[in-house]
Amino acid sequence: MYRRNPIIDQILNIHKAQAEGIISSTSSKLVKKAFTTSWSQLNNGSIDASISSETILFNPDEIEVTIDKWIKDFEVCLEAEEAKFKRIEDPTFSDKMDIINLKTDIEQHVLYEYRDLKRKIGIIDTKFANVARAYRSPLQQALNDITMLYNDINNIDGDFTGFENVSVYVHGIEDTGKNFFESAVEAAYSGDIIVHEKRNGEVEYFVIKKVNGKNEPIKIRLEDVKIHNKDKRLHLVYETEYKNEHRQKTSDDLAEKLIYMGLLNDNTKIDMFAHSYGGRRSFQFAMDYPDHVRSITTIGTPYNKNFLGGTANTFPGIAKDFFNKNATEYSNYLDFNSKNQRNDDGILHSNVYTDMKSEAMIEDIEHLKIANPEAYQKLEEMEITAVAGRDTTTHKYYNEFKGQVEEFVVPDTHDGAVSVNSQHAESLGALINNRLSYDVKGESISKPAHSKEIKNTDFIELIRQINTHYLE
Amino acid sequence: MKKGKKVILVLIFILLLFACENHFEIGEKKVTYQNEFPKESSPALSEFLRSYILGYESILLFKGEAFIYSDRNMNTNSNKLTYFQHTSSQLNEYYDPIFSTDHPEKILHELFDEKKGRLHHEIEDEENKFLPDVTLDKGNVLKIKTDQKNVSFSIPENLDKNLSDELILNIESTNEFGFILQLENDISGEIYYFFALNDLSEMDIFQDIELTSVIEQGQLKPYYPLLKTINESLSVIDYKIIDTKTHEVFKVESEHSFSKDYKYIYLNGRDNPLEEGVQRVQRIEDYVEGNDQYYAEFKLNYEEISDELDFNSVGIGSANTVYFNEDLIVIHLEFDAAITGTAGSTNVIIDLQKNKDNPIFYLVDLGIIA
Repeated sequence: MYRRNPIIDQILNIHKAQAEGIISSTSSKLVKKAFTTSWSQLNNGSIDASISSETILFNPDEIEVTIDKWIKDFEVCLEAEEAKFKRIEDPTFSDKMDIINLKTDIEQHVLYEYRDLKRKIGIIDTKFANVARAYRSPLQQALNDITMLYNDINNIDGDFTGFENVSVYVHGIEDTGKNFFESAVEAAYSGDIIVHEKRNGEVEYFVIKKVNGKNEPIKIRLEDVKIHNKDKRLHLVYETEYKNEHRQKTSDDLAEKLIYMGLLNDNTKIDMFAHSYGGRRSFQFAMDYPDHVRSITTIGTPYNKNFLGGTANTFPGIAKDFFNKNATEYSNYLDFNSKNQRNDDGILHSNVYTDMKSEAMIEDIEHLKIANPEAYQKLEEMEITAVAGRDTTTHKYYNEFKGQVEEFVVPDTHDGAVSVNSQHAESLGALINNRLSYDVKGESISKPAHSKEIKNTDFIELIRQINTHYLE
Repeated sequence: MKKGKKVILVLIFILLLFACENHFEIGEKKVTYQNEFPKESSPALSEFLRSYILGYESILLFKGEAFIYSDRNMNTNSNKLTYFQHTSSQLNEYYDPIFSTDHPEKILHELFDEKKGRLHHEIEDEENKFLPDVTLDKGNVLKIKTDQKNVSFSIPENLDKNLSDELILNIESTNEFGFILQLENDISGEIYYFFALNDLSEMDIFQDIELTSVIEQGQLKPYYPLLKTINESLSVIDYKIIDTKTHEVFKVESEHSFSKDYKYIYLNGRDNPLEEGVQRVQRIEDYVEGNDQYYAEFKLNYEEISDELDFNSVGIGSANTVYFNEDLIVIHLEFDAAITGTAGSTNVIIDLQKNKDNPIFYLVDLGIIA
């Protein structure tokens, strides 16, 4: 019968003492469970460590470094014992069996268990990260509220405080703000300011000038914006940090940005313009900060669950390979609704694709109505316009009276990606003040009307009208 | 059967021959794409960098060994003209880091933001000869001091212009004969041009929308020497080309792009998206004559550019000119992904210096979208 080499137990005892120290300092039941189960597998007695602190101090990197050291201890031990064995001139059968047993015990038992322990620590890390992700948004919202209050009490202004009319443009999935930038330029008035918040963190500032009959964005520095006439409108073309981030993350980040700019205050009114999923993002922001939003105008927005988005969420590989869509993009946000989540390699997260698959906008609106009727009432008071872009089909027929082939155009019931019903937010009922439909000519299946809605001339004219309306 | 095979072989041979010929033809005119920022400076590139970095805030008045500018006033709180200068070597030294970085877009962004401390140098009195000392006080009272005379007067009272709002004061141009000021109503956006000879013996003010009729009636004649000159008979102001001999005014259509030096027109250069295919640049003289002489003709091929950059694109979404001057055009391209979203973007620096019909295309995203 195999009798464990006492040197193994000696080393394990040293490691056990360190493990007990880790458990006590971490104060995590999950960590304790991982160590105790491993030690019971190691046949080295039981771990005896108490968890006294209420604060969990979990540092997975530090624990992994310690386990790596333990692995090294055993590797060094084995090396030394093998060297000792080789020095024996005429080893007996028992000597040979001892070294084989030692090697087997260390390599196939102890080291295997240690590596498994590292894996368990990795899983715990992912679990903690998942929980942290879920609570990050409420914490950031609370922080935003505190900052807003602090700035208000202490009269702290941002660089843009004083602009009373602000347009915010929010793009949709897989996109940047560049298309909206062009439409904002076209719909703006001479002297208006455009702030382009780019995904890479850079911010560019432009003043609109009429140049030979057309609006031109002229790049200027922040210093010039600070001294600009603040009776003009400020247009913020906002690019999300992650192109496929969930609407809640956009709302939290946008609020943080607007507070920093000094634009979330009693005097500034925000008109939101959005395309595609950007409409859901804008709605979320309006639900979170209803005192500050005056109007929302969306085009191409999937207010209902969306088939294409849902399919991409279910088959991300196909979406990537055939349509260049990143349905697994990790955007550091986790929704509390377990249906509105993905699990990629143990990492739970939520993004536009999980959202479009699992939730219609009406669900959150209904929650808001019950949980915060005051905010819902403010939402009712906002001017909300849901525009549906729709593709068109051209039919040809022979006009017998004229003796020639003629064409007539029939609008489709969708824009190639989202149905008119969904874009009109029919499910939101009277919350929507205006439902408009624009014919937008698409090009084939790959470039449908949906991709051309932001630059549609009717939509740009609508932006201009809303910008003008609130200046009067 | 044998005959059939022969026919098929002949057909394949003919097809291959045509295919080779096409390839050869394309090969002959093959565009040179370089997926990087130019490695070294050149006159046209230097002018682009100067123009981008100094930007709208700096109004270029004189260009030589020293570049002399006026600081643009952006609101009515600044009521005085101020000037600054830099030399070409100071400029070269300032933008030099852009040639040794892997992130030219970042460097360019910094160069734009940090220019004031590095490129704004005071102008000595002896260099100040043609830079009028101008202040616009409340009630639109202009105080002007040139090397020949000082005056102070109210524009509404003395020049019969009903200007009640405060105006933003800037200078349009200046030379040994006099200067042109630009006065902008910050509220209405109205723009006025104030013309004055250096001895202040003649002064006039016209709104931009009046200019065409004023020119056609010959009223601007005394001030023709103050205008930007294209050649001995053509000058330009407010995007209007003037034949100073006949007082004829030629309007450049809004879809065409004026070069920064006002000497060239990029036909349809303000369209968005710029149409693929042959691009044409004309000298102003040829544009005015309406002839088909082109200073440069080259092809734009979006599919090729998309392929060069490995974009998984279904076509062009946005294509616009962001800079146009003699021998260098910079455009911004944004490619569409399938169904929705972007497949990627880039700037294209089209360098016409060596070959105007087959320029070098530098594909590099400088982050310039307008």
